[in-house]
Amino acid sequence: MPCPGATPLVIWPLALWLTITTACLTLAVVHAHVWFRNRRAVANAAFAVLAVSVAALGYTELRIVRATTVAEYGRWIWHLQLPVWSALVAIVWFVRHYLHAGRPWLGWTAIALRTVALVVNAFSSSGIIFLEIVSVEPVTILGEPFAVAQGVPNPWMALAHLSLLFLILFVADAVRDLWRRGERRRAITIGGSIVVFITVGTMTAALSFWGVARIPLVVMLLFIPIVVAMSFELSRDLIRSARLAADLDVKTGELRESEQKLALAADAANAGLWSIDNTTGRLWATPRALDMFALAHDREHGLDDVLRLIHPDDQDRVRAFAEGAPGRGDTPASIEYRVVDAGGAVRWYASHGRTQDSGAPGRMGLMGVTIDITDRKRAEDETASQRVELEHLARVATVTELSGALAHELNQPLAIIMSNAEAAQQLLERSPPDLSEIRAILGDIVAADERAGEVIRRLRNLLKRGEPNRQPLLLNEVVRDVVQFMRADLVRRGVVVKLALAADLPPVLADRVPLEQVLLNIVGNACDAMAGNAFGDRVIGIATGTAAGMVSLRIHDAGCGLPAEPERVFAPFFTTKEQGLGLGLAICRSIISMHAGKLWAEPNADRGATFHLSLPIVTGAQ
Amino acid sequence: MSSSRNVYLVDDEPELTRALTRLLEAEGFVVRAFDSGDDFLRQVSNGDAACVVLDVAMPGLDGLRLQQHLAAMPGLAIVFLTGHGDIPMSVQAIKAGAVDFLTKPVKRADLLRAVGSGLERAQAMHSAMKAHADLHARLALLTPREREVLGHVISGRLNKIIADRLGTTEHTIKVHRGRVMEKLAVGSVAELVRFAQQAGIAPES
Repeated sequence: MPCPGATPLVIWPLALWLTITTACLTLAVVHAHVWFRNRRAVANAAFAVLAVSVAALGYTELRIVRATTVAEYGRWIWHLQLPVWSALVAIVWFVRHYLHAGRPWLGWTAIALRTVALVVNAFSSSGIIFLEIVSVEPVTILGEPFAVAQGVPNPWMALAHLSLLFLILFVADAVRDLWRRGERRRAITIGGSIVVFITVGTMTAALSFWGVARIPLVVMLLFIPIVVAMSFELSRDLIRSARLAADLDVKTGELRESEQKLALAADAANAGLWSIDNTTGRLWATPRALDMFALAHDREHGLDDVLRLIHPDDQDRVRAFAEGAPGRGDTPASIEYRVVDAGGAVRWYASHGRTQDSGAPGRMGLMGVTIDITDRKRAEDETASQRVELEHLARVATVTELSGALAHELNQPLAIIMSNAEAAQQLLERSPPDLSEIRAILGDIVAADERAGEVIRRLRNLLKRGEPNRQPLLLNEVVRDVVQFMRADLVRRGVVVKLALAADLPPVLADRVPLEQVLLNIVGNACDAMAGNAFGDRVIGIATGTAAGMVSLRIHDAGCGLPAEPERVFAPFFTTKEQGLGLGLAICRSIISMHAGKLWAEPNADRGATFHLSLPIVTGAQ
Repeated sequence: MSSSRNVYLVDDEPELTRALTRLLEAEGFVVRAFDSGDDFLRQVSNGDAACVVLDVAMPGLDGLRLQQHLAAMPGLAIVFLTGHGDIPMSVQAIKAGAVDFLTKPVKRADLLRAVGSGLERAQAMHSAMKAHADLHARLALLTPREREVLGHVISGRLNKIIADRLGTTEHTIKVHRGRVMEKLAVGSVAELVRFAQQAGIAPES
C-alpha cells in the first residue's frame, strides 16, 4: 500500500544513521587495533565486535524503516538477526572479560537462546519475527516516514525475547557484583546503560512485532548509549595506559641510568653482575662477569657453562648455592670458591647472591655479584702462615728458656735406666741371680724409657711447625701435662703449683700444642714474677671450671703484679724482662682468639696477678 | 773398729733412689732412702758416719740448703747428684765441703768411687771425732794437781825438779805421775807426750 506524502529519501534518519554507523565503525577500528597490538585486551575486541554489530544493525534498520514493500521489509528483518546475535555475544563477552562480573551460566544461556533463535531464523523462510507480513505502512516521525510492518507474529520470537531477558538478568547480576565490589561508577555507566536500554529496546521491539503498538524499529538508537558508556570506560583505560606509558618512559630512562651507574660501580669494583633464571636455566651476565668465567660475549650460557670452570672440589658447593635458592628474603648468601682458568692457574672468587622472586608464579631467579678475591686470599694465607711462623718462634723461645729444666727432665729417666741396668749387671754375676729383682729392674727401666720418650715427643711437638689440628681436649689433662713438663723448672725455681681442677670438665675444641704453649708461657711468666719472693713463698694456683658455656682456667700467682693498665701486657713488644721480646702474651692472646676464646689478666686483691682464659665447650658432633 | 758402709740417698724421685739402692746394695753398702730433705733431717742423728748422696733440685728443702743444715754433722760426707749442674753451683757445693758433684746419669764406677771416698772421709772424720772425744774424756779424769804434773812431765823435767817447783817431795810426784799414766792409759813417757800433743796440752814452762 503506497503511503501518502512519503518521500523515498528519508533525509535526517539517513544522516543520523550514517553518522552513528560511521562513529561505530571508527570506534571498532580503534579498538580492533588496540586488540591487535595487545592480544590480551579482550575487552577491546569485544567492544570492536559490538561496534561493528551496532553499525550493521544501523544499516539493517535503515533498510527496514525505509522498506516500501512487504518483501523488502521481510528480507531486512531477516538480516537483522545476525547483528543482534553478534551484539549480544559481544556484550556478554565484554561483561565477563572487562568487568569480571555476572554469573557465567546466565550469559551462556542468553547466547545459547539467541543462537537457537538465529538458527530458527535461518531455516524459516519468513524469519523468526513474523510468520507472515501482512502490510508495511509508514508512520511519520518529525516529518519523515518510517516503515512499520503488520503481520502474524512467529511464536519462536519468544525465544529471541527470552535470550534478551537472560542478557538483562546476566548484566543485572553483574551490576550487583560490581556494586558489592564498590565499583559503582562502572556499575552505573556500563551495567546501568545495558540493562536500561536493552530492556527498553526489547520492549519496543516486542510491542512492535507482537502488533501491540505501531512503533518503527529503533533498536539501534538504544544501543548507542551502551556503546557510548562502554567507549567511555575503555577510553579511560586508554588514557590511563597512555599516562602509564609516559611514566614508563621516564622510569625506563631512570632505570637505564641506574643500570649504567651500577655497571660503572661494578666495573670500578672489578665485580661481575649476573642473574640466573631458575626455570630456563639461562644466565645473564655483564661483560666483566662473562670475562671472569671465560665465557664468550656473543652467545647464551647456562649454569653448567659456569660450573665447568670451577675447581672440582668446589663444584658441588657452588651448584648447591646456585640451585638451592639461597638468601631468600633480605640476607644475601655468600660463597667463596676456586676457578681454574685455561692455563690451569687457580683463582679465588666470591659470589654474593639473592633469590629473586620475579613476581610471576613459579619463576624464581638468583641474582648476584662475583668478585675476584685471589689477592685477598693470598694475603690471608700469607698472614696465616706468618702467624703460624711467629707462634712457632715464640714456642721455640719458650722451650729454649726451659731447656735447662728439660735436660734435667731427660737426664732423670736416663739416670734411672743407667743405674738400674748396672745394678742388673751386678745381680747377674751372682749365682744364683735374683731373677725377681732383675724383673723388677727391667720394669723400672721400661717405665723410665717411656718417660724419656714422652719428654722427647712433647718437645718435638712444641718445636715442630704444626699444622692446625683441632680436636676435643680435656683442659685438665693439658694443665697436668704442662705442669709435669715444667716440673724440673718449677723445682729449680722453688715454685710450687697447686691444682684445683674441676671434676667432669666438658671438652674444648682446640689445637693441643698452641694451647700448651699458652699455658707454658703464663706459668713461666708467673714463675718469673715470683723470682723476688722468699723461698717457700712462690706458689702458683691453677683452677679450672665452667661458666656460661665456656670452660674457664685461672692461673693465679703471688708475684710482682701487673702494670696499671693490665691490657698492656698483651700488647706486642711489651716486656719487663731483660732478654724478652715481649711477644709471648701477644701470641698467647692471638692463639686463644683463634680458638674463639678469651684471655685477660686481672690484678689480685693482695698481690700478684691472675690470668683468666676461657674456651667454648665443644657442642654436638664436631 | 769396722769402717762404716752406711749410704743415705736423698732424692724426690723414688724410681731413682730405687735404682741407686740396688746398685749400692749390690756392693754391700747399707742404704737408706729419703724422698725429701725435710724427711732426712728429721730422721738422721748426729753420731752416724755415712755418705749422703743428695739431689740438688728437690721440692721443698733443696740439696744446697740441706748441706748447710748438715754442716754440724761432720760424720756425714756429702756427694751431690744433679740433673744439670752448672759450674757456680758445683763450686759452691765443693767449697761447702762436698766430696763430689756428680751429674745424672751417673756411671756406677763414678758413683762407687765418690761414695767410697765419701765414706772414707766420713769414717776419718768420725774416728777423729771419736778419738778427740775419748782423749778429752780421759783428760777429764785427771785432778788439777795431776794436770799440773802432766804439763811438767811432757816438758821433760825429772821428778826431783818437778817436786822442787811444786814444793813437794819427789815421792809424791812419782805417785802422781803413775796415776796420770794409768788414767790416760799410756805405757811410756813418749806415749804420754804424743797424747798431750793430740789433746793440745801445752808443756808447763
